[in-house]
Amino acid sequence: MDLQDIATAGSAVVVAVGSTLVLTVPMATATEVANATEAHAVQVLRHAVLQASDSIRMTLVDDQDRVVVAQFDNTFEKFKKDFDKAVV
Amino acid sequence: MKLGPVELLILQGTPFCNIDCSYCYLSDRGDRSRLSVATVRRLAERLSEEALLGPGLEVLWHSGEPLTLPIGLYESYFAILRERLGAETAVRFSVQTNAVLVNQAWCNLFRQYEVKVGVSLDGPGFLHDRYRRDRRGRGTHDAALAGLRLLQRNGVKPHAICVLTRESLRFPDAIFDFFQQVGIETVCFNLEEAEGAHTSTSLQYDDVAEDVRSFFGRYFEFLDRKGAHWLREHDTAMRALMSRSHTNSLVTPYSIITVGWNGDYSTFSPELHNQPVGGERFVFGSVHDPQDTFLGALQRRKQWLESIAVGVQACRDSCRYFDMCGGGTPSNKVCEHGTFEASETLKCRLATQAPIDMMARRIQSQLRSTLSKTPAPMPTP
Repeated sequence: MDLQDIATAGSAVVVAVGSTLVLTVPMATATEVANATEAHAVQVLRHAVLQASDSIRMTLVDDQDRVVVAQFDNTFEKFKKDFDKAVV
Repeated sequence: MKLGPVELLILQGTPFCNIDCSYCYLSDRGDRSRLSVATVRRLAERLSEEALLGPGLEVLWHSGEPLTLPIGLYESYFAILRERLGAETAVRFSVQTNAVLVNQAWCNLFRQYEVKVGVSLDGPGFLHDRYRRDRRGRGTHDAALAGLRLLQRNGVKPHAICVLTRESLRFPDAIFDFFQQVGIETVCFNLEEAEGAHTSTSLQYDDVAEDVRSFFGRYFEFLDRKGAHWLREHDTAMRALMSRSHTNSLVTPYSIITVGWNGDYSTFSPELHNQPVGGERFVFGSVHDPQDTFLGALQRRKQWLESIAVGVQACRDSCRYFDMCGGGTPSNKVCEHGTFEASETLKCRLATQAPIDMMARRIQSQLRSTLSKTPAPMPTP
């Protein structure tokens, strides 16, 4: 699947974050984040995440752009690579 | 206060290290003492008896070079842990090594027991050899790289832990290219910290936060490339931004247990183990003490628990990153501020906040770019 196919119709913006993670962000949220100052980007993104559980859709794709995991809530657990606990 | 379950068990097989990195926090790395099989057996019994285990347990050999011990000792460790704990939890083994002593026998062991291997590798030789030297002052890059390649030829895919110093912050391109070229699939950056025996860091200078943000900003750009390696800081920054809440295992009692070679144990930040804190060594008890229980030890060390909780509350009250972090790192608080009852540290600013900031900026920049190319919606008639 091509990255562009992941875009939901009409009201969302799709951006790739890194080579394997794609965010699909509602247009209203995308506009709000884009208009924030850089210093406030973190807070605006956090506000979007905390206010609406399905506001941002995250999709993990492999190197050939095939969807590996798509997630519609914000728990992010499905992306866990079973790795982080090992590193101190 | 939330308690456990134990997710990470760090075992100090030996304090000894065959090399002599100048930023190491361990003071006794010439000590050749060994973790006995009896200690591991007793530890496993205690963990089982005291019901501290969850569905999975990662056992990591660290704090001293694990590969300076005989291979046969690990076969005994692994067998005991699987035998005593395997029915209760999914036990996985890990080692963190400088890779200098990797040989075919070690590769065979890692494959046989599906051991996850982390290699300490600070990027290209001119960066790595500045700090990671042997006891005669010679760089260890060539030997570490040879060890890495042998592991890879044997189908073991190590991750790399790369310490970032003031010098390496200037070379994100070279570090990225190096890890791509050597075929590392997973990279983790640790910012050089003042901890334990390492009382100062090259990162204590004005404008360091901006340098770190620039480093991560640049590195995150590289990760857009197809086939780029996975970077822990990229993942954790994204997870921090996009998760509703965050559990911080470094401030959760018995989420992590560190056991020294002699059976003394502690919890919270592993770097605190056996370090002086308030005139005492940071140790909660000994697995060999017949009177000791893990829960009883928390009661005995209540002053540390309470101080750490006060420090977490200070973070909650003062830090806008709190719900993405969960309360910082006790070892850095005590090292930088002399108390657990503190909030922000240099590590917070560099290792937690900077990657989150740069990830947010990156998302923002991409959204701006995408929106600028998106045609305005047609007005509704």
